[in-house]
Amino acid sequence: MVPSSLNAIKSAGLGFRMPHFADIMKRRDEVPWIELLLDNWLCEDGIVADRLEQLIKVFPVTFHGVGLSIASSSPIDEEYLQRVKVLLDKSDALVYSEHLSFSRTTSQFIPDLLPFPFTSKTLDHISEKIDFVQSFLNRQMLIENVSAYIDFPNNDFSEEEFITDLVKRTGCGLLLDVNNMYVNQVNLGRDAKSALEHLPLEAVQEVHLGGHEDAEDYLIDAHNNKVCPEVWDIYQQTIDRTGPVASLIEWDNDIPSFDVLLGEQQTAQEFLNAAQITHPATDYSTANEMKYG
Amino acid sequence: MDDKQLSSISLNDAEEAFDALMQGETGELSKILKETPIGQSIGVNVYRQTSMSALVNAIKETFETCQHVLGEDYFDQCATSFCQLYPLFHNDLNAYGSDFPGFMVELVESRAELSSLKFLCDLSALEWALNEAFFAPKKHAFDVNKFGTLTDEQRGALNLKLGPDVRLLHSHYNVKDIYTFHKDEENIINDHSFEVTSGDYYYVIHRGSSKENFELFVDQVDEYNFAVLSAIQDECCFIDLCENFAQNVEGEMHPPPFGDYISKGIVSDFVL
Repeated sequence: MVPSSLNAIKSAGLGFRMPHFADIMKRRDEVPWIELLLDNWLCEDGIVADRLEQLIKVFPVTFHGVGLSIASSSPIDEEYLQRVKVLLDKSDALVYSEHLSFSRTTSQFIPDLLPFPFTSKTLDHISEKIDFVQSFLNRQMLIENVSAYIDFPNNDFSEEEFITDLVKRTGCGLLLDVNNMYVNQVNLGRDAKSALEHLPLEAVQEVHLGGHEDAEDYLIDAHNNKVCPEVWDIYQQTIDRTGPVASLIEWDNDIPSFDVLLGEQQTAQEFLNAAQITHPATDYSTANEMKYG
Repeated sequence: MDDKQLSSISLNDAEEAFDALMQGETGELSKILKETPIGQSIGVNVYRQTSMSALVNAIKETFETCQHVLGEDYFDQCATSFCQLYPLFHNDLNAYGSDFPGFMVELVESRAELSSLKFLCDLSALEWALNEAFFAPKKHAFDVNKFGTLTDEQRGALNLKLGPDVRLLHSHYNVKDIYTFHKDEENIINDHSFEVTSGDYYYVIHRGSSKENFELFVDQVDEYNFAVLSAIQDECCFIDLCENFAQNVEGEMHPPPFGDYISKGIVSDFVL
């Protein structure tokens, strides 16, 4: 199995959105890598394939999926996974990441990243599915912690315990979304600092940074704002522990001008530059190669 | 505490509760949750709203002109009703809404306030056709050289193929004019009124002939050309097309204008 190759980058990238196509092609030198929302690029032909061809000629790309539904009760959709494999291979993707959530039930797709109970049974089930996906794709995948607005009773594990066991069992990497950690802290009372102490940070290969919407009594993970100071603080605490790590600005709604987005990316890069000075180089890719042989 | 809360919640329990939520029933999910700082009901409503608004936004984006005609609030209500009736069966929101034109037919028939807006059914069909044309696969250029090497017998038996982006629409209203009117922001800002005329209107929706061109076209054609293109779509063989649609021009019989269809990219291939 091929390990993720994003650790070679360790810089701040941008989540690409179509309205910025002309800007990003013009200012390609300012963006070291981009992340594409995988499910928007599965068309094998037409305008989508045409734009993809232009982007992958210029940028190293990672793919971030929303359609795998790894925590569904039903098996992985192999037809979907085959299309994912074709896309990743033809795009020379550095990374494939997905959410630790479900969006498919037995009767429909729900366009959201839905939470599930952290039990021994779900841990077994999801571990098997991650094994299956990594074997099918012949590459390591990263799993991302999601934001949540509800919680289930009688969980066997905390979220960080669940993720730690998943990483141990499957060898998957971790995409740590620090905005989601903050949203969950406010909405569900999960302590982000404590979570950082218990998560398997050695498995973190990518960090997501995004803005949320403040609904006064709670936060919505809407990716429609600048990263707030509290989230930059959790990010700082993260890279204090991990050292520089590939970091991505996500902005999906109320999309701002390209300059605003680049400003956020440059702020993340400044954090990484500072972390580079205080941390000796850590080459996780070597560790992955040892693990996957 | 509900019985279900005494034991761990399964993935099936969670899925069923979210299915019910998409139908507007919050109780199934609420009864398998624990209390949180923001409160169960707020959390449940966030999922209800974000999931439903993702579907509704997909409909609004595709059927933008229908939304202009109906007004945002009224359209939102219609789109929400649609999304509750028609779940998403795949994970591609760009392909969500194929049933919306049919839903509009039922809606227009059932609501008195829409009786003067019967053109909405065909307008929604036009917008869906445009959406399909936009996301359709790239077309191949018609292989004229290969066509030239065929024997008369092979040529007679072949089927011409419409481009994968091409959609045909027979409307009873001038929906192209209505669509074009609403695409002009000046008309919307200045609250200009538009004219609806009824009759037989034949449209070909396509992306043009350039392989790299993703601009969309709505060509109005006459009944004859629409019939020829419909026959091509129905896989009528070349010899039958030539015979059934031969035109008498100044005493001479001419085949349909295949060259025009090919140069516009409407016919883009053939199969033997």
